[in-house]
Amino acid sequence: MHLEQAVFSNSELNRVFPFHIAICKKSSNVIVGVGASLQKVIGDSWHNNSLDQIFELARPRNTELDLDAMTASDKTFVFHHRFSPLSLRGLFVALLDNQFIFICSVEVMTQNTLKELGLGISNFAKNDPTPDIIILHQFRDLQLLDQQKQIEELRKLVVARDTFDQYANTDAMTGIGNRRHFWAQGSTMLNEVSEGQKTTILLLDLDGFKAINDTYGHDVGDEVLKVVATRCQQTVSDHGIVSRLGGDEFVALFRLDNLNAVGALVSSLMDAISAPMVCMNRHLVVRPSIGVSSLDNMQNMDEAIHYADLAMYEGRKKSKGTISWFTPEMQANEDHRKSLLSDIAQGIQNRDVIPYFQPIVDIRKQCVYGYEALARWEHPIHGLMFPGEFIELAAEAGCLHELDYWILESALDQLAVWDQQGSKFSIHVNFCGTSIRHGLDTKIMKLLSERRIKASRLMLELTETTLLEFEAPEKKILDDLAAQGVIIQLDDFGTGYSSLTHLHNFPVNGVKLDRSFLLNYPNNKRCLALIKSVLGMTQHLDMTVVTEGIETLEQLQWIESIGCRYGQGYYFGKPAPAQECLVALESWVPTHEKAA
Amino acid sequence: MYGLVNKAVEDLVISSAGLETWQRVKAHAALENLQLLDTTNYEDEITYSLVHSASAILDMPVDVLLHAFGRHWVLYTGEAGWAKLFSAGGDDFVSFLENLDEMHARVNMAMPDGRMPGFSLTENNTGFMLDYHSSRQGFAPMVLGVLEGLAEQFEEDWTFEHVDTREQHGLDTFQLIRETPVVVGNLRNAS
Repeated sequence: MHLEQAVFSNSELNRVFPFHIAICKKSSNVIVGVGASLQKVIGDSWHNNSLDQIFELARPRNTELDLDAMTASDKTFVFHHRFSPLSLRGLFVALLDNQFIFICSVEVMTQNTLKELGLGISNFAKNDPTPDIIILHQFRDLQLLDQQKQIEELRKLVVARDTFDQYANTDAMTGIGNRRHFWAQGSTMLNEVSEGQKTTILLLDLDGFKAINDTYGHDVGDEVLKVVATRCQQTVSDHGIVSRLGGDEFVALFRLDNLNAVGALVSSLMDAISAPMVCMNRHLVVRPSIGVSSLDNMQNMDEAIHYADLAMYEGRKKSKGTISWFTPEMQANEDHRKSLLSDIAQGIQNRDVIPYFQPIVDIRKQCVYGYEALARWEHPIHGLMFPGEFIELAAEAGCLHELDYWILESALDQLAVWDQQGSKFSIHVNFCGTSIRHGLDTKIMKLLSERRIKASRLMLELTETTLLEFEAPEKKILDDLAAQGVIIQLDDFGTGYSSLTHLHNFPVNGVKLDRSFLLNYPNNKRCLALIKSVLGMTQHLDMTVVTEGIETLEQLQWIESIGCRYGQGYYFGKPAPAQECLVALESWVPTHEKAA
Repeated sequence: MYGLVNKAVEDLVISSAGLETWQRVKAHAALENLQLLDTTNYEDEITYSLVHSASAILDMPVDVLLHAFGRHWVLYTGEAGWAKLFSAGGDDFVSFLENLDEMHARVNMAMPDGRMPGFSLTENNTGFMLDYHSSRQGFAPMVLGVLEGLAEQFEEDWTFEHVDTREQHGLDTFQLIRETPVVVGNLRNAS
């Protein structure tokens, strides 16, 4: 069923369309009534006035005010009130008797429209969504404000993150990247494909930096690090990254087309750092030791750094202040070293490390006076190994004192065996500093007592460097041993500080002159003069002197001629297992007979 | 509740006790990192937690705090983002209350997750009775504060009495009595 006609009362019309305008076409479009809400805005100005006298048709533009045509149209019309900011938006319907009604509501132009017109929610029909536009506008404004706040918060977070990132990745002292930065950036670089380019890692350590700190203070040391960092940065940054790993250690990773270019860059870095610098008015020169690794198959940062570190370590062993390039042999040596490091403790426990004995001869009496026990490692895979190959490893593995005690015990055992066989020798045993610890004197005296060996037949050989590190407790142990008759000898005398203080402060009964003095006999007159001087001095101090390194008859004769009583060297016999010593002794021909 | 409400709580605490106190309130509520946004809908527990923490930190009973919050709410919404809408709510105290439900209904369009309260106003021989409907409990003291704030906003003198409570009668009802204005001229005439 269709509704053909509807009849509204004025109050109903007002309730449903509170902004309507009633117009009579017959009377030249005069307004005959308006809705209550419209009345509130425009007042009585409409009375006796036509529609176009009060309102201006704003949209559609250029439309003639023809009510019949406008009623027949589906278009929406907008009228501006000529005397207020009010705009009405709606459409026309025709009533009886040439009357028309413009059914409309307020057109919201701005958020202030209602306020400017003095309208409230109650002025609108319940089904009129016009006020909702204002609400939605206000909500949108709040959303925009919220969005701005969120953006601001986000910006703060980003700034905070960047600042944190900056701090986390920067070395505070020098301002260049730190270890973390290097690891992150470097790992990325390593993982990137670099067609035809050499990726090179370089580790750099300043030589003598500690001395700068100790001599001039840490402020100067810090300045030096800053200068070095800047120079590294300037030299490398076009091709890669530079960071400070810590202390005086720097690292760089860069890419260049070929090894020549790499070599040139490394050399220029060495030159740059070695150039004189002025730090806090101090004119200084520092030189770095540089380890370089430039391989095609570096897999990760740990490996890359390790290679460069190995190169630097190997280079430093030979000479400081040099550039050392990693070679695969270095890694092989390192692997070998690590393998030995893991074996050494077990080797000592298994008694694979044993004493070899080298004779010490009483030159005047032309007889063997004693033996020096020298450690040898009979490695099940690598064969016979010398102390130079494993003493440092034993120290690194923390078992050097076990080695010393074991060699001492074995040597004393052997001495007891020789005693039983009727040969009376003294025994020389080397001890490192860390082996001189509380209870040593009791332990040694017990070993001697168990084997019925007089304390005076045991000579403990200590190096000058070892004595340097000794404090009062170690000195007391040596004093106690000496008081009980054990002889303390200074080994390798002349190669270290050759301090007379040591001879005076410690209970030293004798010295062993280092083999280096006889190396160029008879050409090095200076060395020979030194031997004479030391000999004279020690004789005055009533000390025994053993000259090491006697390898020829001429050397022996000269040593004998200057009054040195004891000698040791290949001329008399190489270190050998105990069972070979007495055999060698039987075939030993005294010097005079040889000379004859 | 929408952040607008929580922000009004924040505004009340900061304006009356300072920013540091508000930080303590948030810390007490274990909401140290809470950054309030007007148009975000938050769990009701956050509002309850903030109100109870503010009560503890300010050493003020929850009822008293909610009453103060009601007064502040009128001021806050009248000044904050809803000022234009607020001014369209009515020309006087009574018309504002009459339009309140419709205003809330329209606001609900913009904030569809909001659970708006309902108010029905009926005239009686002493003034008006206002019934307050809400799916939330415990906010009657706030309504009392809102009424006082509105009266102040429209510069009208009203007294309010919480005559029925939800706990006892199932609904919170307030009696609204308009004070008769005393005209100075009349006083002179009387004397």
